[in-house]
Amino acid sequence: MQTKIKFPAKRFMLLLFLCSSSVILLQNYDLSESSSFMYNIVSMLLGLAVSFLFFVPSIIIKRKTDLDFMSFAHIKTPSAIIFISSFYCAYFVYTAEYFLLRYMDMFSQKLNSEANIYAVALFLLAVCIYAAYKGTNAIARCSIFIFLFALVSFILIFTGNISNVKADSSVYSFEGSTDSLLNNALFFTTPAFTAVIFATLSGFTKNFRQRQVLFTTGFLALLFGLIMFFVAFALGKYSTAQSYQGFLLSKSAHIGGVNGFDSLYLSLSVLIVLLVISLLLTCIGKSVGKSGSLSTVVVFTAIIYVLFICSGYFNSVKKILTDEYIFVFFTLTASVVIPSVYLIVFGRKDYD
Amino acid sequence: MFADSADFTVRELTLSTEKPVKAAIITIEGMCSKEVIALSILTPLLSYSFSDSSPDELLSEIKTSVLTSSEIVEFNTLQEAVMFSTSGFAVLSIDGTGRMLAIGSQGFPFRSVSEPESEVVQRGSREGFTEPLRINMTLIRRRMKNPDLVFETLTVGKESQTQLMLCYLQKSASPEILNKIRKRLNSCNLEAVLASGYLSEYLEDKGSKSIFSGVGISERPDTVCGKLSEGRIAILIDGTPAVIIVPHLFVEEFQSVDDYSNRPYYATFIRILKYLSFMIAVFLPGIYTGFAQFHPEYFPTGLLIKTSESLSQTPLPVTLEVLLITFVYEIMREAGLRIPKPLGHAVSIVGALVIGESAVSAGIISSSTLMVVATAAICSYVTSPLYPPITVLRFIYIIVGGIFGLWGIVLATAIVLINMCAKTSLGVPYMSSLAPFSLRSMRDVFIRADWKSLAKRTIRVQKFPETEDSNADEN
Repeated sequence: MQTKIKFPAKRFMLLLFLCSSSVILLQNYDLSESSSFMYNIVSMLLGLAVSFLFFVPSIIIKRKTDLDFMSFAHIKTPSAIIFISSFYCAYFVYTAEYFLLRYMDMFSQKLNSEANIYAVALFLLAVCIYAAYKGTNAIARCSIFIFLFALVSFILIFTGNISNVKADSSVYSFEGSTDSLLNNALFFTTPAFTAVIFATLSGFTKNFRQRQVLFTTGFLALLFGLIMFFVAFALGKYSTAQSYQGFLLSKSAHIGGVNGFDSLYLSLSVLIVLLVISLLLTCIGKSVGKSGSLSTVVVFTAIIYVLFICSGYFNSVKKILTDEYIFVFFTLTASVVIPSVYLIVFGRKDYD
Repeated sequence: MFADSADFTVRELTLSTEKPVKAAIITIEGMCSKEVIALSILTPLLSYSFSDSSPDELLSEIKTSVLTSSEIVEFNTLQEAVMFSTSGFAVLSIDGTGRMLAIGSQGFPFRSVSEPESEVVQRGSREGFTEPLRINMTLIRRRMKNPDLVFETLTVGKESQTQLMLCYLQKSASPEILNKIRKRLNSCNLEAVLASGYLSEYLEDKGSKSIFSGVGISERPDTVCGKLSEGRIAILIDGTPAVIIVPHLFVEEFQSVDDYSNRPYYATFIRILKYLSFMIAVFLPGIYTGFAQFHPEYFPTGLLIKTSESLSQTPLPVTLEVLLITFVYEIMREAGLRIPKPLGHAVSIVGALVIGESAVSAGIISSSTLMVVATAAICSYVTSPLYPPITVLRFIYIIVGGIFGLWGIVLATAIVLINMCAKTSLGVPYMSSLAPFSLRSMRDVFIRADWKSLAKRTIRVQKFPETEDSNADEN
């Protein structure tokens, strides 16, 4: 483990890009049927623009102090750090649970409905413990290979769907209600959870530039846009009543009689959910000031697992843990509100 | 000390001075050449008329004017006397002085320099390392006529007192890495060091446990010289032709001497072939098992029909069948390695006919499974240094694929990837060039750029991004 070594911010952004893509890979997203493709694109851009804004406070802290928010808070308010740490740990546990539940839903619906999901979740979390123990740098290095795999998978899936595309003049139509615009935009702000990860782990990185976040958001918009385009025009009406349209897209792909690209999609979704949960566990380690501590990681993973079991027995727990509104509100507080307060209170003293 | 040892020889003689002085030549039988002792030591000593002087002066006279040997070392401790005599020197001791002379007269039998069987090349040198340390040093020095080339002596093994040579280019090697190596070798508490594998584990980084090795081995002097020029450090061990090279990276497993002799386009083709073979060797049986067991829909229709037809005629479940054949293959391979060569043919016939053809025709194993295992087995020899991790991973993937299907394979791959990405070799990330990614070093990873581009700049191993204790921290 190379804990002392800082790694390039570019690689960290690649990692965050992959984590963000989990939103569309794992979620059973349901964009309004009544709104047109262009309208959905606009709502997606709006959602991602808001997500980008979530990064602003921690970007300012990183640019001015070369610290992540957590270290900044530790220096400025050592007596209050316990409260800040507790809040962020709760946030990371919630987010890990959010993605674990969504992945397990997808697993039981699309991969194996007969499997014991508690055992599956246990294995998954065990791997996450190992990854979190090895540290952010190891996970970031791993993301290079996962990115290559994702790139090949998406190229194959999109290429395999080109022959199914039936785009007409409706591509340019712009119809939809304000409600659907806001709902869709809210869905597309989900990637903002990476802003909290950035706020916690960016201290491990070097050579950070603001434009890297912008480019990451841009590439994310491109990926989401392409998936939405193919879902709208390659799957068409077939997809509207179906769940996990991204998965359907991979299933319908075929190149010269070769199909089965859904195996790539399913593999990619496992790898991405592993990345997300492992990274969130390393964030927990950083928040409690014990990076690379196996016992901390194990304890919090146990909490995540217990919550997962509870959500299986109590539907209300599951509803709370997968609620988008709560998730976005929680993210807003962790990535914008708290860092902004610190910036306002402590920022000026140091830099003016 | 050497009390009852049959090979301990003492030849007493009297030096002709006015007042005769007793002397003795101590040798270990078989380590010294009797001809050299007779011609270069005994004859000059017995025929020379010494001046009447003290034993100390006598020893100096012998050293400077009498002996004709080119290698004479003066010393004065018993420990050195043991070390020299067990290294093939004749030790001359004169009555009345505590000083002694070690006279080079090595003459022990050793294997001649020949092509290493484990690293055969099409074009390039046919010389390989052999067991004696000095000959191996010569093989390197002959290729590197550079005054920067240093051989540093170390001794390890409490009982064996095995001599090691740390070999490096002073201007290229990193002092931090060198210090780490010295420290780790000095901490070695083994009783005896009889092969390079004994020291490999001591050279691995702490907290970097993996089935992949961060220590490279080569029996080729040209390979070692190439690595030395990249700032790596070679460790030559007396008594073994396998030379340790550190730091060692994953991408090096896919490079061979032939790559640099062949045309770049062909070398690139071979490199890609090697990477694909590695993937096939590791994943193919596992994926086959997983797909056949859980996701038969992923087989192309034609292949699915053939495979299911073939599998339905065999009594064993597919996971067990793949495991069994792979296991039997490994047994046969191990047997082939250990049995005397003349019997090797018999094992091959038994393997090919009985285990292969007969088992298929008897309906015990399916032909498709046999083909998958055979393909993976052949592919594993393309990158032979990676054979141990490939074999273990193959078994793991078969088991995981058989129990969890594709999901399990992906999960196992994630563990392996994380492990490899976290591993370091003396502070250098094991997956360097790939992760951390380095565009500059890509010219010799998947592709082999032409020599004009390679010669522009040599990338020293310590300059790889994210190397610990290195000033070069670029990406």
